[in-house]
Formats: sequence, C-alpha cells, structure tokens
Amino acid sequence: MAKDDQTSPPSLDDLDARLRAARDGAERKSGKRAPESASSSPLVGMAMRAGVELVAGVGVGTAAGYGLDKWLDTSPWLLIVFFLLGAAAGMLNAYRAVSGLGMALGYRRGADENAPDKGRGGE
Amino acid sequence: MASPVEQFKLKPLLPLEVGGLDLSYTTSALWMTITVIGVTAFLTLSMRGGRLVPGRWQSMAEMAYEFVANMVRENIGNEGRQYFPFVFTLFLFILFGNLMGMIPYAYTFTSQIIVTFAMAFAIFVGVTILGLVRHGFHFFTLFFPSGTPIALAPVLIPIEVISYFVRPVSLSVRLFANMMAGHTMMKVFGGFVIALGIFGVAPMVLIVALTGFEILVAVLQAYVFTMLTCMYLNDAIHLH
Repeated sequence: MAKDDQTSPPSLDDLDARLRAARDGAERKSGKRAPESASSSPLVGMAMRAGVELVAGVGVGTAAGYGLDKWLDTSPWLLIVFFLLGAAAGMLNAYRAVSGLGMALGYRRGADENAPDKGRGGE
Repeated sequence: MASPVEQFKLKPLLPLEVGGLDLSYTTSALWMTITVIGVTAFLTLSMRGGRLVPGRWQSMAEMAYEFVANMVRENIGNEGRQYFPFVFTLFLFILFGNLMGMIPYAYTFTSQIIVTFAMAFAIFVGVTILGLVRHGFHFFTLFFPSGTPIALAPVLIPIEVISYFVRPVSLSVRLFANMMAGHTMMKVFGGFVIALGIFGVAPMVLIVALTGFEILVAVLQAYVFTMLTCMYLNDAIHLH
C-alpha cells in the first residue's frame, strides 16, 4: 500500500494528461465525423420534415391570430396578419430544415456550420 | 370489414374517474407500460453478463447507447452529457413504442396526437426554462440574431417568436402523422387483400414492402424526434 502511495501521484498525473489528450483526439474525430453521418441516412427524414414545418407554421400562426382576435375583439385583422407571419415562419423553418440538412434548425444563421464545435472548443 | 381507423380507437381496460376526469387505464396506457417494461428488460437483461466481448443482445444495447451518446455529443457538445439520460430514455421509449406498434394487434400509442404533443410540449417547456435559467434575459436574443438591421425588427421578431412556438407542434405532428398515416395505409391495403379475393396477391406483395418501409419510418421518426430534441437543447444551452 505504502509503495503504491509513493508511485501513484506521478503516474496519475501522467494518466490524466494522456486521458485528456485521448479525449481531445476523440472529440476532434467526432467533430469531423459529424457532417458525414448527418448527410447520409436522415436525408429522407429531412425531406419529410420540410412539409410538416410549412403546415405547422401556417397552423400555429392562424391559431394564434384567431385566438388573439377573439380575446382583443379585433375581428379579422390579427387573423390576417398572423396568418401571413405564420406562413413566413413556416417557410423560414422549412428553409432551415433543408438548408443545413437538419444541422441549421433553430436560430443559427446561414452557413454557421461550426456552431456545435464552438461550444465544444470552450471545454 | 373494420374501418381503417378503427385500430386507433381507445378501449378503456380499467375504467377510472377522479373528480370528473376520465383517468381510465386504456389500451394506449397498457402499451406504454409494455414499452417501459420492454425497454427496461432489454437493457438490464442484455447487460447482465457485462462481458468484454459482447454477445448479440449486449451488442444491441451498446449500439443503442453509443448511437444516442454520439448524437448528444455531436449536437450539444460536452455540456450535453448531463442531458444524456433524458435523451436516451426518450429515444428508446419512442423507438420501442413505434416498433411494438408494428406487431399485429398491438396498439401504437405514438399514433395519437395527444401522446406525442405531451412529449413535445414537455420538451418545449423544459428547454425554454433551461434557456431562461442559464442565460436570463439574454435568452431573448434568440428572437433577434445579432447583425440584423434594426429596421427589420418589427417583422423579424414576430416571425421568430412564431417559429419558436411552432416547435412543439411540428415536433409532435411529424411523429403522430407518420405513424398514423402508415398504419392506416397498411390497414387499407389489408382490406384490399380480402376484397380482391384471388387478385389480392398484388396488394399482399405491396404490404410486405410497406411493412419494411413502416419499420424504417418507425426507426427514422424516433431518430428525428430525438435529434430535434438535441438541437433544441443545444439552442438553449449555447444561444447562437
């Protein structure tokens, strides 16, 4: 036991360093692998997504407009405005779903492909 | 002949009513229970041996684990690790629910909008709270990305807000619509087989192909649902 105590501190540090190096390597590898794996299999899923995204946008916009109209008593106006905004939101979401093959959904802008790596690099 | 949508009818197995609320234990709930038991049994039984060189079952469990672990790592990064248990549970629950629905006479609970919407809405609320807790009011910059001309704000902010609220709807509708459409289609073609007599061979062949396609859809939709959950978590954690 005593012998172990003497020898373990340097070896643990060494192990720690090696672990960190290995983890960095694995992370870099996985980061590189990401676009590849994203482009092959879920292509069908992404194609299906765009349609749903369009319909859901228009649906939610219209529902919100109808609800606000009922509440604020401004009959057709908010319905019309929110229908158009909802259609725009639906198109925006569909565009985001298609443009980055799923990676660009949410609030990332344009060709901001290394966004997930940014968070990873901070570690 | 039964109508193609009769398979989605809920049958109360244990009628229960609490304070005017219908809390009956239905076929849907039964299959959710079976799914939870199935997933638990799959993971615990296949990992019971815990061998260094995995057998067939252990391999499957490890593949599922690694698949989700990679998905979380690639989409969220290192901070995503603490959400891995949630994402893994979600993935296996939907995957098993979808796949068990392919067993004849089974009930597909993911073909009900209320089930998928409950899951999507819980994720939506959870992600929003997570974003607010982690970033405070800075979270609202999601609705107005930096570098956008100020003049666009009155148009862009409502669009972004709506597109944020579309998330739970599109997430739930996608899974529900895919499952329901697929099962209805199979039932319709099944009806053709009976109705056409000897010529029913043609739709029969189609059903075989359709069954394979439905299994693909079942796996794919579980993947897409989980993938989008990861992306929403990533948005809330990192705020682009």
